[in-house]
Amino acid sequence: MAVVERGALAVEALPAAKESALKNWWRANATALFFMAPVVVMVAAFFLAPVLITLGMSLTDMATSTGLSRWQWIGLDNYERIIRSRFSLTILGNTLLFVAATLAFNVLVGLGVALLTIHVDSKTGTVFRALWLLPRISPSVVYALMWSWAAAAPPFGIINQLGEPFGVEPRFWLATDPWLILILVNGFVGASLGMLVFTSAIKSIPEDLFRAARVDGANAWQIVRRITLPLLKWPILFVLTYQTMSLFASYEYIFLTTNGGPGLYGTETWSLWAFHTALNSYYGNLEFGLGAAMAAVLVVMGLAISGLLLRLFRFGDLVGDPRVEIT
Amino acid sequence: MAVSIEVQRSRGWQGLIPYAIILLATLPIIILYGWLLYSSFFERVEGLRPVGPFTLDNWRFLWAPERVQQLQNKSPIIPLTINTFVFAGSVAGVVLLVSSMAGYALSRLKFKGRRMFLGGVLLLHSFPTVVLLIATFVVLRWLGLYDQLLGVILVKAAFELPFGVWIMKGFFDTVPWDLEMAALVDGANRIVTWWRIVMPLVKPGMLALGLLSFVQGWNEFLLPFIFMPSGNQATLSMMVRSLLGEGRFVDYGTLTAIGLFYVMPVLALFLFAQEYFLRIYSGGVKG
Amino acid sequence: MQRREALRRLMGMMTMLATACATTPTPAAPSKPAESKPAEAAKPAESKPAEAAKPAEAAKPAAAATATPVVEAKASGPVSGGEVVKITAWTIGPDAPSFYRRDNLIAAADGLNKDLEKEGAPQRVQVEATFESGGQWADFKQKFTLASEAKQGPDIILAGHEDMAPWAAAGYVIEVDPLVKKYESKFADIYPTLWPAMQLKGKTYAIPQDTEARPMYYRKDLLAKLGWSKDKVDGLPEAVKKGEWGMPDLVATAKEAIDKKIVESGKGWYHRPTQGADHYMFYYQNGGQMQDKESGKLVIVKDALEKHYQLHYDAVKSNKITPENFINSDFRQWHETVTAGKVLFYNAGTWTWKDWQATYKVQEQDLWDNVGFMLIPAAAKGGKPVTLSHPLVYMVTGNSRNPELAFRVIANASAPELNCKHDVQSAHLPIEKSQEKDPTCQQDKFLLATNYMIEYTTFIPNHPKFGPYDQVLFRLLGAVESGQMQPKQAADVAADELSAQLKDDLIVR
Repeated sequence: MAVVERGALAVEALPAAKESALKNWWRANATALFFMAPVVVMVAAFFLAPVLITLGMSLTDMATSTGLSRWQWIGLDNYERIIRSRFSLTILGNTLLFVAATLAFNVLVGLGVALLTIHVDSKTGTVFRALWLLPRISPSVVYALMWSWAAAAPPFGIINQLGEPFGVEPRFWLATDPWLILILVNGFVGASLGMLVFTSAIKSIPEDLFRAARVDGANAWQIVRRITLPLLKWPILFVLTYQTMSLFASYEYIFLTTNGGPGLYGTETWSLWAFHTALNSYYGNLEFGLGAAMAAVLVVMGLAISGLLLRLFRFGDLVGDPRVEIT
Repeated sequence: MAVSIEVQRSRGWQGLIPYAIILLATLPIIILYGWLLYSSFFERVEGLRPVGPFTLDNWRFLWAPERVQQLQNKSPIIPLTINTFVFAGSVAGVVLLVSSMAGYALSRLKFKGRRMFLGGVLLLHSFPTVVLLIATFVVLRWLGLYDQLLGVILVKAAFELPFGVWIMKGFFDTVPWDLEMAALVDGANRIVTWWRIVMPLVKPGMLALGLLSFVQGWNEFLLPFIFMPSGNQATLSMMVRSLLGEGRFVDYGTLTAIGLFYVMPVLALFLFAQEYFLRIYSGGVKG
Repeated sequence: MQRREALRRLMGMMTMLATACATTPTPAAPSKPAESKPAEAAKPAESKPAEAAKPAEAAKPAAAATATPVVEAKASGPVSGGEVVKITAWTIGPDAPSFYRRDNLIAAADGLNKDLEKEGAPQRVQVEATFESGGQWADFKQKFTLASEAKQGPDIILAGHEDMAPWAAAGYVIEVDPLVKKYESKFADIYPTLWPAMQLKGKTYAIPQDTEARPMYYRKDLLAKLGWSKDKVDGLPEAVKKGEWGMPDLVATAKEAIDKKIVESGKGWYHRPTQGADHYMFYYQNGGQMQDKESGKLVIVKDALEKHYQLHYDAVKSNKITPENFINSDFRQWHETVTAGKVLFYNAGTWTWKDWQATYKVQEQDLWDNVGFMLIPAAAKGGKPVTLSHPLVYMVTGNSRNPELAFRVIANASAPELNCKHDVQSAHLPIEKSQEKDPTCQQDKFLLATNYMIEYTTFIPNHPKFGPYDQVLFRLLGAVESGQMQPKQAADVAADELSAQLKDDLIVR
């Protein structure tokens, strides 16, 4: 506070007014600049710039065969190709189904695990959190193989072998119930993000609140309902939004398990489609331009959905200006 | 600290309910990984039925890598593990530092473009990073960072920043103002206050973020592989990929064992970090 | 004071971080990928056939700190007596036993240097080559294209023949027709059936490195249970070759075996369960074409495509010789099931013969006793049997400052004795007729027994748009086998969708 006031008093004679406006600006923003400079530089150089270049690429025919020097502008042709494909609606539907179902699993299970591991003794809690972290830290190829083998066709597959005594009919789960398996495969990886964030958030809640509640005779469930959950509103909203975006962009585990099958684009999602047609076509030529256009469409989808989510949860409050501002 | 919100176990069987539920929910993971471990001790398994007798052969890469066909011509696993640690650690370090600086400013300071920045980075995250490969190459080449380890670390860290910035902002938001206010009134500046007063209070947040970005670095394969063609930074994830090949001559037993080995350092780190961060935090910094 | 203190700490932290990045104890030694010891590097050049069996000793990592795990670099011995020209090459397995793709190039340096000396040329070459064991083709190719853009690529690249289409268009690889003509004698003996795959619109861009074939395997023991005499079982490949025994016979036999409970339902015929070139054998067999000879455009023959889909539809839905939900099922289980002797007919690669021994622990003698191999039978009696090859090729890159010398390294690496070492070690087929008489090749009974298939082979096309083409046709195969679409409908959809996507690049017949 003192700093600013001194600066304000230091306004000098007219000729120097311009310079001093700059100085004032500098004084008011120097701190923010210091804190924000690294993130702005890094995001601008290594994230924003590539995204903008990629958006530009979506208007070109850039591919392996054109290299980075022999491409041409082709306007909206790539977008037209996407719209004209008879498969794009199916794939859009798949994407929405996949994102919604997996998201629900991720957030609910993540929250459940965080609450449960906090309500058991701390050693047990740590062990279970470590177990839930396993899918995330396993090499994706090994994790996906493990599920493929578990869900394999009879007589293989431990789902079949363990389920049989309980009257579960043996089947090739990846083909008969692909969505179930995919949601589990992705869900067990995704839940750990929520788990870690929620656990840390709960640990950040001042103890006094819990102590007071217990003195008032609240039981565990009441404490969760009345204290923990309301204070977790922000982390929950954030994980929800962030994971929505992640899931729109994610393809790797689908690629490694059903690879978009069975049948005709049975579980192909938009980002997997982009990956398949444009970035990992089984043979040869990679169509970067078309891939970029598909990604751009994905961003529009992400924008729409998260806009909806944020409106629903009153995002404005969360990015609102700091309530107390000293400077 | 968890002790304080623990269920009073005096209530008998009711106290066991959370144990039962968490065990049940975790059962699939326990079964799957238990089975993975079990199958690493046989030549191969058909579901639960092992083929051949119990064997340690799949784990030979630890003591006799030269006898594993897939590992011939490759460097031992320990240096690889160290390389991976350094790469993942650098990524996590950059992400933690940059995000906690930005998160603090976004939580505490008023400046132009704040909202736009928050919304913007979140939107960037919906861009599948694999699509960005070519454009990232253009940027790296332009900056002279193509074929440099530093370039790969910066790119990987930048991809993790949207998450980092948001999560740290959230944690700073939960820190009460009083302590900070006192320091500022005493004449300390923002930077000192941030580093000495506020940062220690967000350790749980740093744990979550540090761990998650470390894991992202640990699992990254494509960026170091593509953007360092001559150096060929050797990491564990590259080794795992190279084992899988294209389905020809795949030794699944060794793959299983190495996959399990792969998760252990991170698991150890998690247990250590969990203990360290959460203990110190509850140790009374925040009276 | 406090501020200074904090800043100091911060700077300290950043410096530490920066140092951590900079002094990473890793093999991050850009621009020097080939620092293995000369003594060791000289070895492969003089290695005897006996050594071929022990790759581990020939190529031990130098030291943990400098060895790279995925990419193994080597260089030919030191040269003197001339202006030394360095030729670099990138090769990949991904299967570990294919390391002669690198070693043969290195070995070729010696011969080439002698040639140069004889010619009185001032240059001498030194070859530096890398080999990636494991990993994915897609990543390897991506790395090469970006390195080419950055002008940091090698002189020689190993890849699949179809990669020449996009790479030639982008200028990453160069046409070699004049050089092929100039050094004609080195290539006189290459199977003529292989050359079309080396060409793009009539121009040659590549030299074959190795090839393979995709036979139809069959269980001799199961056929015997069906009452086939030993002569009939052993004579099957010959009957197929002559076109006397065709696909309808295969289907009927498989059905009979299932009816008589010799094999379980769905285990009469296993095709490849995943995406790959193998499926096109059944399209070619029905008169399919993939590329127009004159224009080089991609082709769909609707009628052949429908017959191809019909065969698979019937196999799953009406004849039940192939299981339901087969496409995208696990390849490991596929191998486990066929090596357990539970499937009557199954088509796979020639390389799988070695894989069954190495990974699935089948004794070689067991294979010879119980498993037979033949061409893919003709679509109907009297037709022509087929197989399909996917030759890997060496190409000279657009980056190369010494394209002719690079080309001559490739030419010398194609010598029969060098190629045979590779073929025997990695279970590939020869590219030259004279290799049949090479002592190394002669050791390998299976190689000799399958070599004739090259004469019946087909290829996937060299065309930049083959990726989307393959994607759509494979997806529709999945739709047909799952009963989602009728064969006729699938063929129509294929033609429509591909016409929309590829426009002028596609001809529908």
